[in-house]
Amino acid sequence: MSDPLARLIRDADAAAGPGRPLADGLADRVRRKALRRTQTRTTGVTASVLLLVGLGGWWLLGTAPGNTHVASPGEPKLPAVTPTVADPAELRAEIDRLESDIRTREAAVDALLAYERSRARLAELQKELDRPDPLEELRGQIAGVADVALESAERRCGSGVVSTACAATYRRIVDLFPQTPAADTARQRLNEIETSTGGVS
Amino acid sequence: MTGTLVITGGIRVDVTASEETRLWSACADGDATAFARLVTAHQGHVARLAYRLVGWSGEVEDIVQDVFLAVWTHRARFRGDCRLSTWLTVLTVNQCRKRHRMRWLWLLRQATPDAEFGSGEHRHDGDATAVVRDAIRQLPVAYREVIVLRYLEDLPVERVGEILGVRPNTVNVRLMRARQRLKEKLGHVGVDEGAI
Repeated sequence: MSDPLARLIRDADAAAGPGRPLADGLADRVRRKALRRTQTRTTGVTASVLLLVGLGGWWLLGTAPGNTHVASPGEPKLPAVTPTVADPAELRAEIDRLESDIRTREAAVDALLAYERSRARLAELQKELDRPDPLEELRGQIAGVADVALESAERRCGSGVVSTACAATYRRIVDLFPQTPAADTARQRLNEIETSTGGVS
Repeated sequence: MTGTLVITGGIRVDVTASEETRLWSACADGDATAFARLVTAHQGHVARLAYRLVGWSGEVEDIVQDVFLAVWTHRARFRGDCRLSTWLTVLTVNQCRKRHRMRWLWLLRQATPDAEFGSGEHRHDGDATAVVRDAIRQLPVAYREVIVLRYLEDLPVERVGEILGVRPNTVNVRLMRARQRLKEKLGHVGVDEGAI
């Protein structure tokens, strides 16, 4: 090529020399580096998944981390980051172990969730049991009404006035609210009225 | 392009296109031996290109390693639409750009005298070729790439455009501007105007 600038550039390149020669075993180094990267990435992803599962478990149980101990027999430890393992078999074993860890953790979290659900159901049933009987509640209300009626009758007839109206009121209380303490009192008053009037009412 | 394969004992043989296809096919299936042979065949070309693209200095071995790391990692993606050497050239250009973007590291290296094999290049005491290399090194990356690929790798403008992902017209414009800048720089430092 007759281009003087191109020739000058080529001369400059030739004068710079070939540069430092590369070390041997480049392919091996490359494959080892790729393996390390894969391993680091796998370990990172696994650790993140474990962390998320753990945090999710704590969040679902509604307890703060650190206050609750997730009880799981033979609890597996978090995988240590060992980026220098180069053997594919070891890497495979490491991945299997990590997957096994994940399964154990998930099973522990599932068990805890089931336990929490059964506890919530038990609490619901207990609340159901603690609620007062509606029949008893109704009886109490009837007794209250009977008391009010009795009190009203007592106020009208309490001053020693004995009349047929008073007797009728007490009889009405006995008829309407027979199973109440007010009915007992009303019966007593009726007896007193009959005694005082000589059986004429 | 035909690579050169160095077999144990220092014997050199050419890797033909068919041999390269066979090796690549095995490499894509994860054959470490085939990969090693491909690396041996092409590492010289990649190293030389990287050496020129970074301005005849810098840590070329790291770049070469990263290029082949990308090859090994993405070996399943290479569909064979172009020659492996073209793909390697693209990867090398990309790795050099990546290095260039990490300017703080580059500046750190520059601040450490005599740390690299290219040290002393900036002290061109009357050495015209060093002045030219310095002028090319000072060009913007886009201009340096076209200069290296066109004049030092002897690639046609169309291939340069294909590698850089631009149209041939763009390559021509960049070449013209790069030449213009080189002429200005070399004129200022007193390199023979007639040679330019």
